[in-house]
Amino acid sequence: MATLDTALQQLITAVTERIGMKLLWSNASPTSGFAAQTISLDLSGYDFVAIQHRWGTTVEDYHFSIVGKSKKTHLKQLENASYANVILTSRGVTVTNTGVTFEAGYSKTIYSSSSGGSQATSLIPVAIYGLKGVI
Amino acid sequence: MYAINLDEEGRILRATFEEFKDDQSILVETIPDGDITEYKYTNGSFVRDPLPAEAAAEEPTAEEDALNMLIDHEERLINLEFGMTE
Repeated sequence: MATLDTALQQLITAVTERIGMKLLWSNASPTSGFAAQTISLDLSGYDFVAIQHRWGTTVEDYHFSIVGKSKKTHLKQLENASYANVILTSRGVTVTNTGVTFEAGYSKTIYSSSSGGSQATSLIPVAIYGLKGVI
Repeated sequence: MYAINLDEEGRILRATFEEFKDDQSILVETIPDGDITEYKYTNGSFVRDPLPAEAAAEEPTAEEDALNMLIDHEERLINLEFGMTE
């Protein structure tokens, strides 16, 4: 039984070292604005990051986005589907081995012909997880 | 404990928990209520210094919306007449 238990423990360790998800950063004030900035993290051991985010400082709607390294993408969320003025919030993000760079947040009312505006209260990062292994 | 990061002017950029601090983080016992980016951190204290409110995007008037729709429709009609639609 001891041999089996040891083997199981070794198997679990081998699996978790190869496939895992680890919380690397958490926003302690998700109802605060978030300016463009870089969060320094050692991501060299991870294949992707999962960024948890919310539409804005005033709406508790949480989503996850999986982002690869060295490829800029935009985190996006839509809100107000039950209203005439659906609002899109967006924020550019780039992930490298040394951290995650967030650009300024933007907000755009879909029905409006006006351009979207930069708003620090839009698309708030809530947490960053490192992902490794097979997805 | 919380770990805060500041910009070049001492304004709070973000706050996280002590376990997630980085080399630039400053450890504090509490963070301000409300929007922390309205505060600067100087000499161990938080000083409220909100930025000017961002100007709300101007909403188009109903007339502007109608005119924009009209222009869009006219463009589509022209494209149809020239056989430029797929």
